[in-house]
Amino acid sequence: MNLNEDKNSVDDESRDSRPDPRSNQKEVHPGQPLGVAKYHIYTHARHALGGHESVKAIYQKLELLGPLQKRILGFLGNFGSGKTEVAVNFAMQLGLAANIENNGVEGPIRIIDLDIINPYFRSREAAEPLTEAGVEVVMPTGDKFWADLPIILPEVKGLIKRTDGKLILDVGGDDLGARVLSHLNQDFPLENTTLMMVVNANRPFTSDLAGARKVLSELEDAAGLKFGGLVSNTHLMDETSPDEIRRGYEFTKKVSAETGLPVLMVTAEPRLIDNGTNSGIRTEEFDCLLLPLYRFMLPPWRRDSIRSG
Amino acid sequence: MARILMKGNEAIGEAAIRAGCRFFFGYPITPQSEVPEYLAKRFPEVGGVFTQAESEVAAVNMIYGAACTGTRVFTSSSSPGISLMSEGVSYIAATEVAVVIVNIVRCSPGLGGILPSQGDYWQATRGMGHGDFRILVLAPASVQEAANLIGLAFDLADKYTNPVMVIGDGIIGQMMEPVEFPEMTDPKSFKEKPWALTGAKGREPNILTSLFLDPDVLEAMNQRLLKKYRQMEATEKRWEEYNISDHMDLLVFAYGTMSRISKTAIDELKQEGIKVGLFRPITLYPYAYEAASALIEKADKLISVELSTGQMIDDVRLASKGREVAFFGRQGGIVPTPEEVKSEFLKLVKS
Amino acid sequence: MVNTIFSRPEAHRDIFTHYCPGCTHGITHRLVAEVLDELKIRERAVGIAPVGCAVLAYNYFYCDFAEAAHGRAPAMATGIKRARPDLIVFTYQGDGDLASIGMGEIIHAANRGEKITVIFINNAIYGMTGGQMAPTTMPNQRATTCPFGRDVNVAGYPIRVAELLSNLVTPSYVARVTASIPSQIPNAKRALRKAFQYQIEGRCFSLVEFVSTCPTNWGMSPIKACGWAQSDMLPFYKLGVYKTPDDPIPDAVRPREVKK
Ligand SMILES: Cc1ncc(C[n+]2csc(CCOP(=O)(O)OP(=O)(O)O)c2C)c(N)n1
Ligand code: SF4
Repeated sequence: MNLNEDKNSVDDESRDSRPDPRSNQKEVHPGQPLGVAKYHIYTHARHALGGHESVKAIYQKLELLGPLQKRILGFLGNFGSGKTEVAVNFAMQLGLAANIENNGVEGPIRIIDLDIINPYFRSREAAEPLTEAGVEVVMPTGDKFWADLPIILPEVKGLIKRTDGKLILDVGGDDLGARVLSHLNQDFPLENTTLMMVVNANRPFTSDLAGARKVLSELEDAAGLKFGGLVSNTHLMDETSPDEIRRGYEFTKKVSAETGLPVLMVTAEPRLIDNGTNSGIRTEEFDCLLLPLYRFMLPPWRRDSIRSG
Repeated sequence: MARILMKGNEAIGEAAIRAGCRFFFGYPITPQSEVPEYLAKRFPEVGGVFTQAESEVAAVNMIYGAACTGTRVFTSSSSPGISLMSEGVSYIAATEVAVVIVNIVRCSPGLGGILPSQGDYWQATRGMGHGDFRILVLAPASVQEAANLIGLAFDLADKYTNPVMVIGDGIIGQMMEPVEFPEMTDPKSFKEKPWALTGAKGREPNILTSLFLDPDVLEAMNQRLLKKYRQMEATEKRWEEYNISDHMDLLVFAYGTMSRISKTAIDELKQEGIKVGLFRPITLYPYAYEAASALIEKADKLISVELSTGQMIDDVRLASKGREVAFFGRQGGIVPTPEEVKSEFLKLVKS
Repeated sequence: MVNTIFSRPEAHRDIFTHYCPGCTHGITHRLVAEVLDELKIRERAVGIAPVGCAVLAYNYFYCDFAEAAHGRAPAMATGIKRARPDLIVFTYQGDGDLASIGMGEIIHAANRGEKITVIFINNAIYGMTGGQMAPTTMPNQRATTCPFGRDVNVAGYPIRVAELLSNLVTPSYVARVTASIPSQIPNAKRALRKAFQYQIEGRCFSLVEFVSTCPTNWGMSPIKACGWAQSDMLPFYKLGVYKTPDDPIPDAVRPREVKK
């Protein structure tokens, strides 16, 4: 047997099956909504809309405070404050509401994933349920969906300048993530934009007033834009209790008193909201929108939390 | 202390500070960048020294140098960077100084991708570098455990004057969970290390080297190291058992993220009356073969589930003494769902 | 009749790039592609992509390409060029890739006088990994690993690669240009042409440093970023040709004629 020949034939065959790193390039067009991501890698967001009907029922009731009626609504915060989760839930709520007539919300609802900092747990991972809820997701497509590259899509500028529908911005964490806005800050229609700082009092750098104020001014400096409100998103993941939500709300109110920024939303997982039997929190307790928060950015072993809870 | 929400990578940084470590040398790489970035902000508050090295080759030799002075020191990186460090780790192990290395593993050989993987198991437990040596390898499965194991890693590194690696995948590094830290350890509270390079004032000079020309001396050195590894094997094995019963349909072997996915699948199968147990090694080296063997006897079938093409399965086979071990794994950064894992378990149980 | 007066170079594929809007990587790609076309070397060119924002450069150039390990592109290029001297080999590297982890490779490739061309993007930061400090980061400039600004007492001063390499005795062509000022772009292209020309002639190693911008990680609009490059970087990273293969060799190291 001619060993060389044999060896070559094996090699050729296996090389043929190597993927072409350039394949698909023609079709891949940044920003064209992909609709459905090929795989869900760490999160299993598609399950989050599990009990569609009940989710929709909570989501449809919308009474938006003035600043929340603006066309561009951006969520910023320090790392791990929960911006993405809040942005995704809020967009979904608007998306579902926009499907209903006379709800005061007009589509199209779009969400831009502007997280250039962290390649894990980004809003693009919830693309599928968002699309299902009627939200257009603007994110890198094709293999760049997974890229560890700071990708800012060229159409973002255009979307900011448009006048129809609503635009939700999911901005990356910390002043580092907020820098992406300074890239764009001259394009914002300021009168029609509300940027909100998402506050979780259980995170290291925002656990006291001084810390929260410091983060707030760092974010404003980095973005080159001013905040218009606060979102109270204090939680301890699965260990959150209704009292934790109340405590977080009180804390955010203190931040509000010091900064003059209104608290526009408080968030809570549905299991913590009063359903008549669980002595959860009630809408009347807060002077702002109570956003039921479904967790989309779940680690893989937690994919069932919504269906069961 | 109150529990706070932290990412795995941040918790690693804070836990190192709590353990009395004040020196970090590293080079940026995703998905572990939060470790140096957290320290760059936090170290100034506690008098720590953060240094960005020009490469991982330099970083590992910087921790080598710092460790020669007897202080606690660590670095963190991800797979391609760890490969570059492997030469230095061999020198550190041979010189017998204490360092902690964090590897937040990314996927596939070469540049691969930044998604989670467990593809560095062999590298960590077998071939970290050239020559006959071993490093202790600890694998957390939660943010809290990552913090705890960092503390332990520093203690073990000092105890054995040997490199200790804490290995996690991107999910462990990136996910947030509530975590509680131990009280601050005062860096000044550690015992003096008589072998350290501190200046030969009033004593004979200390030499730290890995070069021994005389074959007899070199062999003795290797034997000395071996004795140390035997002692680690005798005393440092750590593991978790989950849902173990006397008669199991299936025993699963998994660590890190895969162990948590497996637990979800196991819980569901339990409700369906199928008895599946889990053996989760916490120390990947030394691997708790005896404990695993004892459980293996109680199980009808065995499976190793990994985010690789099958690496830990080698150790499971060693523990199983010739019994057949099935395998399930995903690669390329794809993390299987609990359903997928569950159906693999079911298929095996029913076969 | 309609005449095409502006079109895409053949050496540049017709696709969208992943670069941030306003990033000078795009302009630099185009210039390189134009030069490959004009010198008619596209079909024998081999590019080496770095690890950095340009990691996907092979998607954009229409010529053979390889992807190197972080910092090792000059070593890979050496291997390719030595195996196939007829090929035109170029690397395209960022400042982290070239001046930090790959400093050893670049100095030795230049010092051996490898007949390769290096396009060096100096944007004073690590772009890809999210804005960490680079060896070229300016004093007091903020980066994620120097949140309080580069402290020259612990990180030293920024490295000037063009100056550094031009101190080597081995003949080479080293120039610094910028694509962040429109009026400078023709100069930049001239330098690139020259660099490739020297390689075609088999004369010397060539490196063109581009003072570039990273609006995203600097946290500036693209226009402001160009302004910052001009006001803060150019006074330190001065434009110009730093070395040509015609520069004299000091007598002390001039080799003696060796009779074979
Ligand atoms: C061995 C190794 N260490 C670290 C990394 C992570 N890494 C990827 S790109 C990069 C730096 C990129 O910066 P630069 O070279 O300046 O290029 P830019 O992105 O700014 O164009 C680093 C550290 C890696 N891929 N491999
Ligand atoms: S991160 Fe910076 S260097 Fe990279 S593409 Fe964006 S602007 Fe360019």
